[in-house]
Amino acid sequence: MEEKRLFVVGQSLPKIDSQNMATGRTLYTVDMKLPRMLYGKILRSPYPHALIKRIDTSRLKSLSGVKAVISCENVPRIPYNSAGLPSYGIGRHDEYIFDKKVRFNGDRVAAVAAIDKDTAEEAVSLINVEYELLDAVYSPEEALRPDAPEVQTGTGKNCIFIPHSIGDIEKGFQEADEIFEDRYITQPVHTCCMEPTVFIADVDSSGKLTIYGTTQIPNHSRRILSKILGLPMSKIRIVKPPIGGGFGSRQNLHHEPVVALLALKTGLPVKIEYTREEEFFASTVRHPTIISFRTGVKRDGTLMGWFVKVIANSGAYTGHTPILVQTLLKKNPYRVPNEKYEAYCVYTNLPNSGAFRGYGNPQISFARECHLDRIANELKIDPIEIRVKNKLRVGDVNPLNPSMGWTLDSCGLEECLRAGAQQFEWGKKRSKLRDLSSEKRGGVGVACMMHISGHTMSADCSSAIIRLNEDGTATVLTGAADLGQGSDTVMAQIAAETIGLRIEDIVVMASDTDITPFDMGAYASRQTYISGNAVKMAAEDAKAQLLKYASMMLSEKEAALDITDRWVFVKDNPQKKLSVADVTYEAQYGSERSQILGRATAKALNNPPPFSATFTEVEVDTGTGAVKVSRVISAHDVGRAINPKLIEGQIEGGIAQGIGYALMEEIHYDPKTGATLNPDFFDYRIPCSKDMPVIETILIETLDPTGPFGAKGVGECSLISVAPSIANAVHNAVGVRIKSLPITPEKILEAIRQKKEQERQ
Amino acid sequence: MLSIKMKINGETLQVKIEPYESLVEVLRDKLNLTGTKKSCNLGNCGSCTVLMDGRPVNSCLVLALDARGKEITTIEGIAAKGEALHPLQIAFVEEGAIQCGFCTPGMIMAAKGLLDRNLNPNEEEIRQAIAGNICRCTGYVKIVKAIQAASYKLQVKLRA
Amino acid sequence: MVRFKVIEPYTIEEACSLLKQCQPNAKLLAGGTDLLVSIRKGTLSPELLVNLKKIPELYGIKENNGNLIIGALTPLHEVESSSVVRSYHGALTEAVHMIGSIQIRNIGTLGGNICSAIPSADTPPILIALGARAKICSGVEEREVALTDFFKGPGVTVLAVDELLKEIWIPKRKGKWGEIYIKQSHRAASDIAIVGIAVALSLNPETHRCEDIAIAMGAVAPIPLRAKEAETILKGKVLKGEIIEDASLAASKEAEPISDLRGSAYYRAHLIQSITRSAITKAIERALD
Repeated sequence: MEEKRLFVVGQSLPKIDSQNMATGRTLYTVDMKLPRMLYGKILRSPYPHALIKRIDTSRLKSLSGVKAVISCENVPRIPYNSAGLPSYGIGRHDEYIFDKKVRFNGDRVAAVAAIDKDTAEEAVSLINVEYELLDAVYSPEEALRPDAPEVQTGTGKNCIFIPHSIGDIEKGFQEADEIFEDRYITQPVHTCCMEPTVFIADVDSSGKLTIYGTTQIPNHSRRILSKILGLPMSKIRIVKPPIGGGFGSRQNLHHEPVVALLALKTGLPVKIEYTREEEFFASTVRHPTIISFRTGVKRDGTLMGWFVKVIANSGAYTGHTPILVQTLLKKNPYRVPNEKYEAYCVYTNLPNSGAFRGYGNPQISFARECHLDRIANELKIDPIEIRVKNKLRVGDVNPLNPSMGWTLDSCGLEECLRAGAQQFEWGKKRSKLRDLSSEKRGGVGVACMMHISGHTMSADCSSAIIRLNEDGTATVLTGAADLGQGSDTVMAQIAAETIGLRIEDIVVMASDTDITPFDMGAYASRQTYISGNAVKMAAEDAKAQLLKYASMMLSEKEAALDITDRWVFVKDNPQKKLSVADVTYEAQYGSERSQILGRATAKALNNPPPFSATFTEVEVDTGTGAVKVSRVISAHDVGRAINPKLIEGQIEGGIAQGIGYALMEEIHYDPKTGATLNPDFFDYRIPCSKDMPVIETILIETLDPTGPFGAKGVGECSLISVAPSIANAVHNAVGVRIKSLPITPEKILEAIRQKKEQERQ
Repeated sequence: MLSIKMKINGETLQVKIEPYESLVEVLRDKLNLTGTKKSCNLGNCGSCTVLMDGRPVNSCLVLALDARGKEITTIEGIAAKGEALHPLQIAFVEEGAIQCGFCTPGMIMAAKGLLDRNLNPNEEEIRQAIAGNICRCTGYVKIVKAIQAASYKLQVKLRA
Repeated sequence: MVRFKVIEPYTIEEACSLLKQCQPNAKLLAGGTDLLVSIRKGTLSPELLVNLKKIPELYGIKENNGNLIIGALTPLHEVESSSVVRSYHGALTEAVHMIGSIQIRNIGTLGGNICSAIPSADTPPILIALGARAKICSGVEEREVALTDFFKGPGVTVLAVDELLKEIWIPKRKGKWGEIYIKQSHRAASDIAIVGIAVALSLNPETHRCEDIAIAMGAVAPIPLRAKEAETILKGKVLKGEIIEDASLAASKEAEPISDLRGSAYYRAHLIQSITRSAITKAIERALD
């Protein structure tokens, strides 16, 4: 591929929205107030599983300022699935705005709108609900027993069973020299977006509904709402203002239908903001899983086949679970000729599980990468070499979307491993003899991952429009949702580069369903690859129109012209040039009277997987069991770094979340009531500034032929292989394998104690 | 309802408050100073950090009436007269220390509390000063760099 | 939302009499970093807060006759940054530094950290180990109790309904004196202790025998505990490996830890032993330094 010089793409430009954030000028949804706005509050179930027999709101009559009350008694019961995905392929529709049954402690029961927050809170406390209590079940293994209380019915009681296989697993095991088996457990964790989940619904006199709020998926939200509210899409506008984080938990419909109904009922704007406590159980959590691997390998480390069983706790509703478990096995960076896969999506009386950065990949990668580390150790192969030996190669079938017939056009996994190993001094550190007399022991570990650049299994798509102003500046209309990752900035860079403008010439208008074209939303690490391609194609369309006018003005053939840094020039005679502003002015006000509008729909031509390798150094205190992560190097095949600094930021932040996942984060539930026991930042610990190690990032550019300027997805990747790299480093330090997350000091001490006991015997 | 005087961002204001109201509620809901964020409301996240008589505090754990007669500085009030941004704000933008931006005002206020007392902090002191401010996006790497960059700029400015 | 009223007395007498009149629905408000959290979480719902911030005699750090005196309402950051406190007891400075975040220490007070009687609080173990005494005042009368006798249970102290903590008195130590507070928590900062152990000891300048020792443990029982058995094992001895090991084990046996989200009782017992060992060793190092 001929390398064209790039001016804007590849630059570490500051995020175009960050100055307003630094000065406190950015208006998030929590900051918004509309005239005469009401405040709502949701009444939640104090029981994990119960039938609602009666809802008595008579006591509200004595409270002034209450404007509306809604519950299953006055709201249509229309089933939906809250997962923010295209409508096809989603499993069951088993959620309702309000149901006659509650299925987890914290489930919605009713809602009120009142003149202020205090009144709304008081009103909710005055509603009397009569429940008929049902038995509850929390553990997926118990929920699968025939005598378990029934939460939902999928393909069977409390379960959707999804089998899958490639090749012949028995043959794979027969051809193997050794068989290894391990079982891993992962815990529920929360995205902990700093801005609480909040929606404001406004309704005008024609009945048109506008909803502002914390969503990653304006278009999917509108589609689902249109169905459950019985309104055409033209009557629903979803706007995503600047948002304080997403990380997946907002790839979901939350209480949009509740604020919408309250607004429609009162004719006034209504705002409902979750408390931090509500956030933990009323939004979604990362699926807790039990994953077992049974793997056949040759003595040289070649993988011959594996049987993987995944039990995913879906919580009370289906949501994302079936899609998540189907896609997670495909995110595998290794050649495995024979695979057998059994997935169980299990319903329990716990809060809904949903999307969270990685979408099942952190769970399966923790299991797979720890399992591989063990295999490498026992076969006396370097953990890097076993990965290199089995890695996917360019030309292999792309496992992500097998039905599409796509192949792998880029794969930088080995480069990631080699570059990371060199910078980390892997060989030296790995072979270093441990001082067994010291209470503090050092160790190193590595883990890899493969992720996605858009929808797995089906083809992805996005549209974009670019409007050129008569002074040569431009507005990009995109459905891409900036959650802080910087997609607005990346879209501006792609547009500026493609047309030949500067970034300050570009305005990005994003995520408003009445204004911006269709986009699936911010998830699946898809914005740069899919939405970026749409913006690039729309920019090419705009550029072609610019060149058409310029060719008339310069009396040159279009093919002879190009645009750089706001100038249209003759390629063979760069002195002959016109400013873009002159061309756009002429187009707008000259004889043609035509605005330059570029537009495009980009259908995915592939789903190029990004790859990465994470190297971690830890120190384990054998006195207290505490793990200190001292250094992390994360090498990523990003295709092309459109904005290296933003990518570094994604990687660094993902590593922090990965460290939290590995060592300290876990939601605890009361075993009797199913109540969330630690719904605050006091008992649910997120890594703070002092918990963070030295972080080094390495960007490998493999220039994928289908990506915009060669770019692939990156957003989710960095979190995924952190936990297994830490677990492997802990094993390297103290010789014990912790197979359940989080790796707490207590688990380490107990494992060390057991190991010593075994050695004594 | 009480009527109290507070000096906010250099301006003395008379504010009507309830005794149970916190400073963050009064700043955001009554004075429309929404730059100060509220995220956990229990003093565990630092999003609501403002300076009270020059010291960073969680404004969710300060009763508004305890701000009576005090000098409160919020993110809206740190840029010098005639300038759009404070050096910390410039550094946060330039170093890429901002992703979703929701922790940013509190983070910058905590950093200002540090730099106002110690213009040349080492990395450990910076990490300590922001240990009560949770950021879920950045892993703190670029935030620490931005505070270092602002510290350097402020020192140069002071010498000049 | 609890719509409490706030009253702001100017003297200790006034505060105490208001407190007494309004029982059981009144609470003292110092910094508020514990109280307001309890109110928001719904574990407390007082109707009246008696705000102590207008009472000047509750503030300040003083010296008197070889005693360090800290007013109950002195903000933690003042204790932390006081050169007087550091010159008396560096371990107290260190312990205060480990509390919460800077934002919390700028609001929270030493008296609040003690009177909230939270089992995991960081200052009680070190203060107890240092032999601190609490000056308690009812407005009309004053009394004094050793801080080790101050706590009765989680959230419960010896304070009567009309009493408040006025000052903490801590004696100065001389000679080969070593003191330390070690806190184990899940996060490196802004966290509470899983276990916190304070050790203060003095060694004979010639023989290096342990002349005096106090070991106090936090987050190991409903109240901060002295490890008296462990102290007995160590007193009068030259502190070496096996004796320290025995004392650490004794300390862990004296504790009555519970299982909670931060760790099981079993894990805490192990931690107490391990941290007590480190704390004694470091206190000796400091004494000999």
